[in-house]
Amino acid sequence: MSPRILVVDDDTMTLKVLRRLLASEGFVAEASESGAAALAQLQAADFDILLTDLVMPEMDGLALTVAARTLRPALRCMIMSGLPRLGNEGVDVGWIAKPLDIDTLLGLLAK
Amino acid sequence: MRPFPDALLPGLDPGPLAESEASIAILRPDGVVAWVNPAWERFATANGGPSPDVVRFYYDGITEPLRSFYREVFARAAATNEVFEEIYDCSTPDQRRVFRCRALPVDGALVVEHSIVVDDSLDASVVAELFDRYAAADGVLLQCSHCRRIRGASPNAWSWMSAWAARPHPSTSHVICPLCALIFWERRRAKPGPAKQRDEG
Repeated sequence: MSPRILVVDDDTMTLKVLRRLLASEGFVAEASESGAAALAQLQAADFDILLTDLVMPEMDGLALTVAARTLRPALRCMIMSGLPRLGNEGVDVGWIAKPLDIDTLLGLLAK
Repeated sequence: MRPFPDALLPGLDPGPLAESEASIAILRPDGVVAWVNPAWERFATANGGPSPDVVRFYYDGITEPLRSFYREVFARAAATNEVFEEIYDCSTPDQRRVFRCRALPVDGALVVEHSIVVDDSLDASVVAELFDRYAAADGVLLQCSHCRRIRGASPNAWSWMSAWAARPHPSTSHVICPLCALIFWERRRAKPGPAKQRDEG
């Protein structure tokens, strides 16, 4: 069964290309433009992976990860960011540096 | 305006190239100009350059020793599939102008883009003024994570600012500009290369 992945980014271009790429690689990919919309989708459907941008208005990727884990404790969460990792996130989360290297991203998601 | 070279780049969406506010040319492997975008035509007209319709070889408009330099680095970009990029001065007697050139290899062709450098200084007061001008209403700068340019008022306007390329502002959201989305994601062909400065060898 194909892994279900929820991609969250406030940039529509990033969402568009990521969703298309992940679908072409066999993932069932859904997209959200905000943390609030993502939480609604997580409540409505089951996902294996949350792949979220870090810097977003209203709710950033870390706050989304914490809230998502409350809803879905087994959810695998990964943050994409062009900023260096702080190391004190306080939550179990993967970190993928932007610019995203496609092969690295696919390798991490396949683990 | 020449028609988009579909035979050279089959399936490539010309939209992001045509709509970009940066000057973009598509070169065949032998240096023949296959296409230029409207921004290129506007720049040529505004600066008294020859009509893009009559320019056959890209390197014809460049004098030595730069002609040999560009022939070499563009050929290397095409051969290695790595992006060539540099920042260069193109000032007039009346105006200081700095541009950033990228040569992006795609399926044997080269997409050559020249975009404006808004300010290449690291002066703190300038950086603060630029933040006020470029940050979105929510106080977030949009920076392309591939080419590191900052988005302006239009989705097709992306500018290079050295300060934020060297160190992203804390209120930066990393996105993908339309050209990088097209080249690095939709086509999955080119690989970003190390930035090179002409005057650094």
